[in-house]
Amino acid sequence: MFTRNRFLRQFSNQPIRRKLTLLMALSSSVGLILSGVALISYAWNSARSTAIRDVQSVAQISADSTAAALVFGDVVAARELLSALRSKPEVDSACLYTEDGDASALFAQYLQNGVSPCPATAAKVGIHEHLRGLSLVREVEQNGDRIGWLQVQVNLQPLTHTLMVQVGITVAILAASFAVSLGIAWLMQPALAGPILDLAGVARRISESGDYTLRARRLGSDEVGRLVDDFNSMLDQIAIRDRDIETARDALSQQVSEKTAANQDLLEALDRLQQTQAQLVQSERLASLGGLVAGVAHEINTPVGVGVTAASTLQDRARDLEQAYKTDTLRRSDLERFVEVARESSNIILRNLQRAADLIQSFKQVAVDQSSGERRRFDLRNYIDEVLLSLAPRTKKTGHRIVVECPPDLEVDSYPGALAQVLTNFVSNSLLHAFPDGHSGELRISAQRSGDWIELHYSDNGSGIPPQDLKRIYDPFFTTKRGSGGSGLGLHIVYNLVQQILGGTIEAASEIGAGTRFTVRFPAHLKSKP
Amino acid sequence: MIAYRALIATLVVTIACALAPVRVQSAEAPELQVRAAFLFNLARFVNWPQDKVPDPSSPITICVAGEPDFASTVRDTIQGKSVGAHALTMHIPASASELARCQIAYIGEDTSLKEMLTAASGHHVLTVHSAATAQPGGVVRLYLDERRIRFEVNTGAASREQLQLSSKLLSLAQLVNL
Ligand SMILES: Nc1ncnc2c1ncn2[C@@H]1O[C@H](COP(=O)(O)OP(=O)(O)OP(=O)(O)O)[C@@H](O)[C@H]1O
Ligand SMILES: [Mg+2]
Repeated sequence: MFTRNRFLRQFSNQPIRRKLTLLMALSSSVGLILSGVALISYAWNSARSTAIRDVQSVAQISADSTAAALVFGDVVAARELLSALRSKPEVDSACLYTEDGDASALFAQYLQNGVSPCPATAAKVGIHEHLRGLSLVREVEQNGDRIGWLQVQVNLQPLTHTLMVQVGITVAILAASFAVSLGIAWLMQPALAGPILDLAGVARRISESGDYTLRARRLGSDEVGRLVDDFNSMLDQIAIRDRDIETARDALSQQVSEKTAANQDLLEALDRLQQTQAQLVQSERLASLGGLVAGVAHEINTPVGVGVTAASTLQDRARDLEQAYKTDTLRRSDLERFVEVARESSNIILRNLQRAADLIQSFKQVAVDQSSGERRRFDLRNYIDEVLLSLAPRTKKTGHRIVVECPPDLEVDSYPGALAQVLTNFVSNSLLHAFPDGHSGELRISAQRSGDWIELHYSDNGSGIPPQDLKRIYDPFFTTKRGSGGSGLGLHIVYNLVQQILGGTIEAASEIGAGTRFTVRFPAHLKSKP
Repeated sequence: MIAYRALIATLVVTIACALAPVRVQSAEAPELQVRAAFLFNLARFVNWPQDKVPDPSSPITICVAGEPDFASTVRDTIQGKSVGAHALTMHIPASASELARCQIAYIGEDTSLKEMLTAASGHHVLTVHSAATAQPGGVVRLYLDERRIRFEVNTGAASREQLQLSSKLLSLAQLVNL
């Protein structure tokens, strides 16, 4: 295998001219050698089998004729019978053996010229080949009984000699025809190798110079001719491709510069958007502050109104009492009734003033948180209640039930203003969107600690949000109430507050007809200022 | 002591007496054995008519009339032998008439040759004898020539008895026609 590979490698490194010449000469002489070998071996084989057939029939006749002499011990007769083989010059010797116990013993022999003397005992039955020719040993039979052996030896040297002459002639013819075919191949190979070499030369020039306008010359319409055509059309295509690539490159760089400009525009737009967003967040804060002020006014109006009524009643009674006292018509029972009224009125006034003071206190807190965005420790349960209180003016008249589930003494260190804004948005969304037909439902706020985090759930049992809207509720300006009170910024601001201020996450889930539920998770103790 | 020597002497004499005739016989033995082999080999080169040897496995009987020494040599020679598929048997005829059933019959010199040949004639018997001259009824005659046994075939007798003798055999024999 190794030598074969090496031979192939060496062969494939030869120039194509030499390869072609060698191939042609080799293949023609291989054919000659094969046919010569076949002819000679056929001649040898047929000559040999003729010789074998001859010696077989000679042995047959001799064995037959000498059987009686062998049996009756007539050596003279046997010798005489064997010497009839003189007429066959190729027979060197004939030896007749008699049975001697288990072995054989030479009985009579015929020797042509003493070249091949008879061995003392018979060889094995069959055909034996040796240098001079071959010998055949067979049994001598009579009535199917073996009575002895006969060995006939023939000389095949004349045959071998003829054969050698044939071989010599064949080799001479072989050498001559190899030389001739080498010559023919040498003369023919330019016709074959020429176009290929030409093509190779063009290809090399092109790869060295990069000049794709060069074309190979076509010398014939055979496969090489077609190869030249294909090569040339390939060059055409390469030229076209080159041009295309050039154009494409230009177009591409133009596109790139256009895209860069567009990108710049986009970046600027994004910048503007972010600015707008910041402004909107700011204005949302101001708006909810405005709402707060209105709410405060409304809330405080009631206790103050009650206090005013009670105070004016007390004032009326006091004036009546003063009148009676001046006209001396004051009776004991009048005084008693006044004291009664005065106590009741002052109670009412005190209670309502107290309530107004409470309200102002809590609004002040929310307002401060919202505007200042201050971080502090606060009690979550209390704070939720305060926020709800500030929303009371809007929630009360709807008749919705508001449920708060939150353990007391749940201390949180975060931005209460952001939390208030989140809750305010949840509630106002429920009021605005969840109950379109006006009947009252339930708003539920629940919060609990879960490890270092606060988990806050807000839900209503209103109309719910369709799935295709649910995906977009946090998008800025996404609203289903455009033109009727919605700006589409509420949940967007909520989302930003939860993420950026509270450092938490928000999830929304909703089912049409069953309600909407928001889950907000944020750290109970914010690590550092965002 | 004396008795012992006498015993040895007796033994030596007895053995010498026992060996003596053997040695005499062995001088003649080759000639007897060659003749016996001759009879046996003859069987190889003869074809009998169909009714004498019906099929290839029928036995061939060799009869020896007279010459009891030769008869026993023949018996020893053909013991267990066969020619082709023919088993060989040996028979000593009690009377001349028994020769009719033999395929080969050797008629010894100590018998009345003419009477025997007459008895055998017409029964396809290959008769063999060693008389000094050819006999009209004898098919094969054995004789000594330069101390070698040679044989003579009476082709007339052979054809009368419808015996086919192989040409190979005839090429070795002296031929007479009586
Ligand atoms: N609790 C809810 N029930 C049903 N739909 C809701 C609820 N909360 C929000 N949505 C839907 O989500 C949309 C977006 O809410 P978002 O608060 O961002 O905007 P908006 O309420 O329409 O306007 P605004 O900016 O005034 O809050 C709403 O238009 C509404 O369709
Ligand atoms: Mg909203």
